[in-house]
Amino acid sequence: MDAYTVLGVSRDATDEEIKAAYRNLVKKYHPDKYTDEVMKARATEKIKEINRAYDEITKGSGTSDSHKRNYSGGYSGAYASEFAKVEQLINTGRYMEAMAILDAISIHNARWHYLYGTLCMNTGRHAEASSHFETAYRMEPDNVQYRNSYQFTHMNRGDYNRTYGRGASYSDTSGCLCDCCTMLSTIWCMNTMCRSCC
Amino acid sequence: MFGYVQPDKEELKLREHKIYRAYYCGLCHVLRKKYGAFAKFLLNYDCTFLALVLSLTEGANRTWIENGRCPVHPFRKAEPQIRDCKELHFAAALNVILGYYSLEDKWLDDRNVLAWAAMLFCKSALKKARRDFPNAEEAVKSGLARLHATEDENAKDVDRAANDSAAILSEAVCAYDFTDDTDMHIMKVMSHNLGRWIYIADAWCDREKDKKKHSYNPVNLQNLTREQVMHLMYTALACAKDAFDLLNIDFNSEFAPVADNVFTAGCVKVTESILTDSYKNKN
Repeated sequence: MDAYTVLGVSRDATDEEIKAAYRNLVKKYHPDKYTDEVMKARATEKIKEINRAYDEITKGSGTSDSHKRNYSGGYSGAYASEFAKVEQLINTGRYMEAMAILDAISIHNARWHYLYGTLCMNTGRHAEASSHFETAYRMEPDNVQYRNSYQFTHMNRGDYNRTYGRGASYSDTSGCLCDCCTMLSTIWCMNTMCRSCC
Repeated sequence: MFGYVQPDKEELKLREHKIYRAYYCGLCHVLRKKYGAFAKFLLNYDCTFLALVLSLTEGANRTWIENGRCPVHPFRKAEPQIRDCKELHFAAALNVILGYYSLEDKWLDDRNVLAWAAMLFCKSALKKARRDFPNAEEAVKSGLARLHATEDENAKDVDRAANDSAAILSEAVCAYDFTDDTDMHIMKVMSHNLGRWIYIADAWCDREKDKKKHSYNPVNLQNLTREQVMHLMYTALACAKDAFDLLNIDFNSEFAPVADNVFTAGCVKVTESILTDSYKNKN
């Protein structure tokens, strides 16, 4: 597929339109949205394709600033190694083992609730997940990850439309490409995704 | 319990609406041709949507007949119809299987005589559908058995009941002959979440009726509020949409916006009307 088709824009699209389309696609396919192994791999593939297309189109024009992923440091409190293990197990679909480790931990801090909620989400138990995400968020309201997951399981029509509505994010073509700046209003975009700002 | 998954027609372009109609009429046509005259009364929106999404994974280059004649509406202007193809055949078979077992449910739960009579008429269609896609029928049957066990236990957990019900759809979809394994996995996730959305919608709609008749309903058992049901429905819908976005399909094709509309407008409208108790099933 040629670069313009990948981004879904016409050949005479303006820089702003290309940027907006690119930005929208990155948000749509952000691999952090997916914890399922197979789906995460597909999302990563798509992002690579989109980045390639964007780089190709903006090559030479000096506007290339495609999103590269750099994970910033994670959690470092109590049970850090157990929680890291749980995260890894969830990411590889080994839910029973992850559950066993979580069940054995007696201190239920925000991280514990967040991971338990993620586990529930991955096994389709949304009702249970939403109460754990809520607890994690209440315990640490400043944590972006907890807030995002809480918001994902507590959507109303407006929240849903903002994230999924047709052309919802095309309307915002402000100069800054980075989603961090508008993150309060979006649900899933993680603050770790861009190198270029914030 | 059928027909919740539909587009918001007011938001469709004329051309997109025509494509949707072509799938709806095409599916009806295949139902009649392959499974007999009675099978077409089982036609529903959910399976129309399934046919459309499967078509997208197949490359979305299906052709249609411009002037399909409709024996149900002989005096109506001729409608476009998607020609018979692999995914329409599968959607038709699944439509028959799901439709038949939903009639059986109605008969067993409510002793609805009309449902019993309809079952008789659709029995031969079911046999043919079973012959064409034995795995799909097996998946629906065993999925229903699991759901009935959960109901008999009077399980309070809405997640458990919703997942049992959703598994019926997601396991059945796997009986389709996918060209790509990842797409199959993604379709499974998508239909599972749509199944959850349908189950929760249905449970909310039936809560008063079920309370009166002391029938099983996790919304009543867990005393779920309107707000909680709203969150559950939008979460399921969001998960389904996230999965749909990952399918290997050409999002620039003229078919894609029709499926997209179902997620971004149609199901949202249905969710809102269900939550405000103003939903009318036009299926």
